[in-house]
Formats: sequence, C-alpha cells, structure tokens
Amino acid sequence: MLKITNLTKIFNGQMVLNGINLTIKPGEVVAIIGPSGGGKSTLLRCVNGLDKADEGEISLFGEHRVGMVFQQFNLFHNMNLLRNLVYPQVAVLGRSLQESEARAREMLKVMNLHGLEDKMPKHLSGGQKQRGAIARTLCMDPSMVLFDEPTSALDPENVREVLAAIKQVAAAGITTLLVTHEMSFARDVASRIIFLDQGCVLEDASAKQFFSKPKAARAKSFLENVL
Amino acid sequence: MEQYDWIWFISSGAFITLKYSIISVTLGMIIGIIIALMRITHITILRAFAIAYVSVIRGTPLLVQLSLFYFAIPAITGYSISVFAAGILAFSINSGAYLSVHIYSGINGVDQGQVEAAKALGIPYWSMMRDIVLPQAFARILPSLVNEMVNMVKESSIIAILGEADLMRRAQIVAAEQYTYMAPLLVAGGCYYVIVTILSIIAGKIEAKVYVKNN
Repeated sequence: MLKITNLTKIFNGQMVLNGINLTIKPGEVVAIIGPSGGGKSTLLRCVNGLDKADEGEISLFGEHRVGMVFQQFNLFHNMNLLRNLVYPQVAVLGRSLQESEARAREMLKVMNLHGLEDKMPKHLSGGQKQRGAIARTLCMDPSMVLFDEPTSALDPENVREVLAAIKQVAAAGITTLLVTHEMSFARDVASRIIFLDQGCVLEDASAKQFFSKPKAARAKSFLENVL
Repeated sequence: MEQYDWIWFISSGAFITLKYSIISVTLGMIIGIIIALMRITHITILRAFAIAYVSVIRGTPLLVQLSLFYFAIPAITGYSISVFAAGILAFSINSGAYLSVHIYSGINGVDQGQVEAAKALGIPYWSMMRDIVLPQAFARILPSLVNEMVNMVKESSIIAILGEADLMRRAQIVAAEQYTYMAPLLVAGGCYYVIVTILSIIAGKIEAKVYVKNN
C-alpha cells in the first residue's frame, strides 16, 4: 500500500504539489490525469525518490519494489537490449547471470521482443524501446510500477503496442500508477482516476464516475477540451 | 655500419619516452576520473579541491611542476627523489588535470535520463558510474583523450632536462659528439612522429569499434 500524506513540493518558489493526500491499495490501477504542469510527473517522481518532497510523507507498506517507466524510455545506451534487462538484476538483486538471462528472455518474449536481444537501443523503434523498458522493470519483480507519460514520445503507430503492454502489467495484479494524456486508455485500463491541477487533487473517483459525471468544475472543462 | 650506430642509439630512446608516456597517461587517467568524480559531487570541499587542482595545474608550465617535484620539494623535505619518480609524478598529475576536464564534460554530456533510470532501478551509485555513466562518457570523449595522450608523448621530452636518456636527450648527446644538430634532431623528431602516428592509428581503430558498438 502506498500512503501519501500532505506531500508538498516547491520548485523555484512555485508550489508544484500542494499538500497531496492519497492512499493507493495493492493491485489498484490508477490513472493520474490533468493539464500539463499540474504536478502529475512530480508526484510520481516523489513516490520513487527521484524528487525529494519538501514536506509531507510517502510511506510504502509491503510494496517491496517500485519500478518506473519513463517518457523517454531511458534504456542504457551502452548496452544491448538483453544486457539492459540482465544488468539491473545482477547489480541490484544479486541474481546469477544465467538466472537473470533466463528471466530477461522470458520477459522479452512476454513483451513480444524476442529476436531483438542483440540490438542496441538506437536501433529499436520507440515502441520497441518502451516495451523493452517495461520488460526491464518487470524483470525486477516490482509490486508497483509508475508510468510517466509512457506514450507521449512515441509515433502514433507505436502507441497501441505500448498501451497493450501496460495493460498486461495492470492485468498481472501489479499496482499501477499511470500519468497519461490518453483519456480513452485511462478510461479503459484504470479503475480509479486522480485529477491533478496546480498541485492539488481536484477529483479522486472511479473511472466510470469520473468520465460520466466529473464533480470538479475544472475536471469537467478539462474533459470537454480533450474528449 | 658503425657510423650509423648513433641512429639506433637515439631511436632506442623511444622506449624511455614510451615508458614515461604510458605510465603517466595510465596514472593520469585514474587521477582524471577521480578529479572528475570529485567535481560532480555535491560535497563542496571535494568540488573546491577539484576546481583548484585543475586551475593550478593548467595555469602553470609543466617545466615548473617537474622542477618543483625534482628540485624544490626534496630540498625542503630532505627526501631525495629519482628522476623517474619525479617525472612520473609531475606528468601524471599534469595529464590528470587535463584529462579530468574532458572526463567531466563527458559525464555532463551523458543523458540525465540514464542516471534517473539507474536510480529508479535501484542500481548503486558506483555501479552506475562504472557500468553506465563512465562508459558513455568515454565513448563521447575518445578523440580528446587520444589528443591528451599524444600531448603526453611529446611533452614528456622535457624529462631530458633532468638527464633522462629519452629521445630528446639522446639527440642532444649525439649532437654534442658530432657537432651537428640537424641529423640527430631529425631522427628524434622522426621517432616522435612515428609513435604519435601509430598511436593515432590505434586510436582510430578503437574509435571505429566503439562507433560500431554504439550504432
């Protein structure tokens, strides 16, 4: 379980997160949506410690490992695809090379990337890179995965395959926090929607309720503009 | 045949030159990496040291640094130092400063996303540096590293002033014996040129290999 209490983050005098309170239960699939600059990415980055909270507390109960998938994929440029998946397992989990490789090949298959093991990231399409990054995260056996606008840097024809991959993660029972601008996907995959604007949670509702009857006026106008 | 012995005499100074260059560049590389890592930490005192180190070394002639190590410091401390030790010390410290500047800019040029991904995966700092950041940094700065190596080969010729029988010193000895400067200096210069050219060819091969690996 993830419990966020009064999370506040200030960048250059500007309050990016303004006292966020949230509880995410294990296995929940939560989409965080809202206008750009509303604090969505910062919220994710605070959860896994890439950004430090200025105030408030983030507690993870029983979530043994949190994975993160970035907008820019961030596969390691100096390693081929297989090594990208093997290296963190060896360096962090202390797994043997054979065990790590077996796990990596298994995840590459799940992500429909077999045959590309020896390719350097440069030679992969955006969609392949992002699925590779998801596979890399899954190799670490996370109980929670944070997706930070995972399809925003993709060509339109690559978006679908990555969304399918995210859906697989969510379906596997892994707690999923997804920052996205893909509204129809959020409605499709998420059970819960958090609407964030100007550093505040303006709405926190089930996907069904949010998309049919948003309560906050700001969420209503946002939806009218994007749908 | 015997009248050409001096050519061999000068040329074999190349081994001395190579000995100084290879050891100094190797140690300089280690110093350069350490200084570059100090430069990027958030620990003020380490950063300040790294900045001051580079500033002082780059701001003073190598000849002065070498003389300090060979003449001045032994005179103050009472320890004597061999020409070899003084030379290696001065050259390593000198090339370490120049190399650190390149390594620092190489590290800075590495995509920040690589570091964030490593952190998000929980990869320890030193593993991340060794296996992700530094390899990518070095791939970017390979040409400048070769340049510094070539500089070291040439600059090491000042060890001759301490009497070490490197290429330059041997050319001077032959010149004094034969009362002619042209031929001995041409031979010494030719040797430097050959070493530097071989170095450049090897570097070119390595660069091509790194390029193939990354592309």
